Amino acid sequence: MSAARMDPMAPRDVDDVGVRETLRGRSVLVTGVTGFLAKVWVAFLLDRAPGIGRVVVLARGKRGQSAAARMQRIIERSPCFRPLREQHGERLGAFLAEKLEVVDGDVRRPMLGIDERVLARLLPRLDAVVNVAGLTDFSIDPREGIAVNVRGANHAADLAARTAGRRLVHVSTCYVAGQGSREVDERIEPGRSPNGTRFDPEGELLAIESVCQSIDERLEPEDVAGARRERIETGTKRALALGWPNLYTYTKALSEHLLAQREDGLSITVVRPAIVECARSFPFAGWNEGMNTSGPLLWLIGTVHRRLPFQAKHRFDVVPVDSVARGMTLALADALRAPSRGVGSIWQLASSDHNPLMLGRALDLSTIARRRKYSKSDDPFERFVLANLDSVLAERSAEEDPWLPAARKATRALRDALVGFDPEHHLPRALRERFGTSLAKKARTTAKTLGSASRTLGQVEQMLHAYQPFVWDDDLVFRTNRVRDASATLSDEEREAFGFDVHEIDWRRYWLEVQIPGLDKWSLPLLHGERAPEDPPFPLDRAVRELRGGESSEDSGVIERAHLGAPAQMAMGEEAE
Amino acid sequence: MFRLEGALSSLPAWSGAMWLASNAPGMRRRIFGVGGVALSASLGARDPSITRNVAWSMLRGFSEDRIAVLGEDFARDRVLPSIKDEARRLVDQARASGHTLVLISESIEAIAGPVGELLGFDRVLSNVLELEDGEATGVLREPLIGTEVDARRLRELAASVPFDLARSCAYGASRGDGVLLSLVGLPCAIDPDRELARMARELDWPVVRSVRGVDVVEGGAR
Repeated sequence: MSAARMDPMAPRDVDDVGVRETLRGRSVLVTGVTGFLAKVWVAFLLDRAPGIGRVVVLARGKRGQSAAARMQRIIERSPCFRPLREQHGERLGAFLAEKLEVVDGDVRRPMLGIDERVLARLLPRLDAVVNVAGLTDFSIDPREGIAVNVRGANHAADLAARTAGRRLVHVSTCYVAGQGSREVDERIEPGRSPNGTRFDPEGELLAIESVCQSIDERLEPEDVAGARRERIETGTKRALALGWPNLYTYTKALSEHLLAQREDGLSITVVRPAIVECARSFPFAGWNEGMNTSGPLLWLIGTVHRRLPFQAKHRFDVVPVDSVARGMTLALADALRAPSRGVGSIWQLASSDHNPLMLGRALDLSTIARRRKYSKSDDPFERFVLANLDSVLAERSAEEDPWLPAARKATRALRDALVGFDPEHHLPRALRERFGTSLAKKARTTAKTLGSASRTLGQVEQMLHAYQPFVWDDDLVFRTNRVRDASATLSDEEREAFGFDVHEIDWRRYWLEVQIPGLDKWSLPLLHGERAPEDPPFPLDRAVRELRGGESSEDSGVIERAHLGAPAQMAMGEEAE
Repeated sequence: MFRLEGALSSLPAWSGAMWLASNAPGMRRRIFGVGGVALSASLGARDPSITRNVAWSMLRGFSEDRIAVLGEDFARDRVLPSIKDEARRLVDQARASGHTLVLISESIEAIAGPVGELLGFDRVLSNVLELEDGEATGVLREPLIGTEVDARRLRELAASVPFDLARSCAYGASRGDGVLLSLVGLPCAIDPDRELARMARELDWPVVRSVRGVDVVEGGAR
């Protein structure tokens, strides 16, 4: 292994060229573009660095829609592309025809599932591949997690190794650092897990795949859900044994370790955002999509359950999505200026080391915001009950706190008792004749309410267990020297456009005026089975170009209009493509 | 210079402490806090410093965020609607004349600050609740603004802005504002209490009274 790969912090010679100048005329392939982060980043890049050569986005045709049609729908309707629509107006189609191209593919397949004829045209002109695709559910099925988060990253690397630029920017997560409370540097020690265990990443991958396969052979197809549950349980046990709190961080970490062990000289830049949340200003304040980390917590604070097992003094490492977009742009520009051999640099995009937000503070602000909202509600329950409830910090972790399981069991027992209520058997004749029918009806209604309450409590319990590492067990401080150093060297004008700006955040303002209204508008409706709002259609005057074998859709004269069907289901893990 | 309590708004300073205490985290703290503020308010007639010290001490342990957010809410939702029409007119008039507007309040900065901002004041002189590790200690930082304002502090403020006290207007409502009004060249009492009204009569200060929405200006040279 080369010295550069072992010490990513080593200084390198970097030309002092601005970000826009570095990106000018360059072509990059981006994966995961239908997900939250990649979508914001592509829009950000086209908005702030319009001189970029070409952004090629990998998308998968879905439900009868081609990759280009899906992308076109996103551009025409997603609020994320508002700034571009407003800036270019009717000429947006022409601008995108020059700057954006869609490629049909799937990160789970070798060479990202891109047609060989397309590859032949694409690879010679690509300067970098930016892999943003990933499943972000904490308890992902390891089979899917490995396919997307691990194999997908390697497929992107294999493709990048065949491009002209031979550069990969891989988006990971700060939480590959695993469990514990410590400072985390921007480095990786391949084959060493967070708890110090030595392991072989490729062997680990094969072992977990083989375990999954044996579970499948034993249980599938008779018990699909059971097989999935067992895969998750087994995978989680393995992750915990190595010091990762869940399958998400385990699979993301495995991908980093595998990339770090590549010996083909590919230049690899790893970008590790912390908890990606609502935009501060781009595309506009509050923009969010899907269900991210804070959404379920905010939902919880809005329920009657107020005992929250949070460590008030632990850091809640939130970073607005547009700050992440800034950091990613700086990382890409750095990779383009100074390619390395192997993992040349790791960029942590976090707040904990220079402008930390504590969990207690986030909880207090969320509670105040909820109370503010409920105190103006027309619903008497919200106005007189929920508006007067405050979250209380539990003294025990979710795992050790008996309150929630007890409440769930009691609710369920009461519901079962009511379901079994029969006036014929349980009431004396006099009462039965007088109240029997109405009581039976009442019992059925109450049983239904209790059933729903019991399910909610179950969800809360599950959620608190999933979040326990982040809100109770661990307190990690992520060093962000690289992105802050890079920001410091920018000109004033470029710092305004691309500088990592987390140090400027006033958390109170951000939380109350950006984050919570943003989650309320864009994310929480999804929890109630509603769709996130879309913008009115903004038909492009020409179709988004899809690169196909031999020619692009536009070159061949095929004008493909987007079918304005049902929006893509937004859920955790949507970033997978 | 305008005194918030009495002259601009009929709400006493302790009403802010009461509002914040009623929004304490946890029902027990809320009940205890509201009870404490109510008790301190009832004892205020004898010694206003009891109200001042005890009422705000009920906020001990409140986070800085909670105080700031609830303070803003109180300023916007409670204090602003309570501003007297005539007082608001006087504020607007002073602003239009190009005067530097100073709001003086016995309340805390978290409440008086947003009120000042919402009414377009240039400076706000109010009490500051001491914070330690982002939490209120329940103690007001010295120097305090009580029912009376320290003349030296006003002179320091006039020197720092700067403005000429002899050419300034001041509006007060209670006996405690006597010092404030006597320091300026153009004093005025708004809905004065009995003692300030007597003082105004003796010193020929103008008096503004707002009765059921009808504003009456009495005597005095303006």
